[in-house]
Amino acid sequence: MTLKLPLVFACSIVASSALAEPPAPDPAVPPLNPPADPAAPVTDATPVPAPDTEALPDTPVPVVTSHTTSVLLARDRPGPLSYAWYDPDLVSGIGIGFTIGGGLTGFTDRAMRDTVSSNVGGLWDARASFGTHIPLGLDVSYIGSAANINTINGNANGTLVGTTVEAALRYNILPHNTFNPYVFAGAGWQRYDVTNMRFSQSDTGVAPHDNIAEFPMGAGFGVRDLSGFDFDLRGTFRAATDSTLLQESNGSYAKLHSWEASGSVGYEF
Amino acid sequence: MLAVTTVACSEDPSATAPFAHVVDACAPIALTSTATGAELASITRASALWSEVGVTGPGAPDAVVNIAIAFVPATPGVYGLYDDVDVALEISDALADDQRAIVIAHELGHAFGLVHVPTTTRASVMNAGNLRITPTTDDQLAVAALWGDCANR
Repeated sequence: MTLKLPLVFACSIVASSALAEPPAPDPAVPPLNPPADPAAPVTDATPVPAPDTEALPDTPVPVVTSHTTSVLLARDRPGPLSYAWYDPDLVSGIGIGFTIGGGLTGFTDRAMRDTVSSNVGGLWDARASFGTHIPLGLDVSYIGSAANINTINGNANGTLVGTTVEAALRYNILPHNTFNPYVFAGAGWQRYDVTNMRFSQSDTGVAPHDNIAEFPMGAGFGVRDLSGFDFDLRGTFRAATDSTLLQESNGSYAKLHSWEASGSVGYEF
Repeated sequence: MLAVTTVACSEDPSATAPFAHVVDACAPIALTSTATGAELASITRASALWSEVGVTGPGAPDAVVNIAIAFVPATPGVYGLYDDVDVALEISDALADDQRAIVIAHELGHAFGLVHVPTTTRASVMNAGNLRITPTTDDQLAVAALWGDCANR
């Protein structure tokens, strides 16, 4: 449960004071003009003697003065279209979230698409987001992927395992809205390992592993509620630096650019 | 088609070789295939490449061992495979003629019990991903270390 700061800080100060306390009434002397409702303030009201009342010469005239002040100290929640850099609804004040999820991924290069058994493989991810409720945030992500490799005639099949750690700056388009579209771009590191493949008895242009730099970019949207629940959908393109993971027989190396479509759920505070 | 002859395999004579079965490189070896044309010529060329450095088993008459060779579809980065259980070679059907002969020679090297040689160690037909280096005298020495010098047997 998210700890919520009060939406509105309100302070009401009521000060009542009598500028001049009336003397204790003389029970023998009826009040000249008793107020009908004691709670109803009468400001600077000077009682006027009733026409038919004879004022005693030395009877002091009661003066009742009431002063009431109400002050509202309101720190409003930013509106849905606000670009405020603080959200009092959240403990963190900026929105810090953690999500896990999964999705689909694939390579854009033809040689890599021909190497893996399916054009679409699976991925899983875990992400920490800092600044989901301010205009500019930071996503730090781990992404894992796996795809089968069909090598030759159904033999020596392997698995291409991808590991990615990346950071991306994220621009929240509606940072204080329940539905928040965003765009992002960043940089990261990717490692690919080819497992279960019979490298020792084959001749291939497939390296057992490779490390590359990659540059993710994309867009998505998050839907979050006041409880802290966060649902996120995003699409990503990852541009990769040159790789030696797969050399074709023509001598060229396959590019490891990839795409991703994924969803995740999590919690933010 | 090349003649099919007796199939006989040897247990791995080298503790370092990771193969279930290997073939005596100096024993007469029949290379059999249903291939025709350029693919068949590549098999003959691969035998000649090893013979040129003194490894005379492949293609020798009166074969006592058979190695079947098939040309099959493969993914772009995979050129060939030595099936050490069935003692057979699978070669990508997408290779150029000169590449194909070298890949067959490479897979024959695995059948002889050779393992990959890092490119940083020396140029070898057994370099991983090799498509251009033919068997060298150092490769012949590596075979001789396992099976002896074919010329002196």
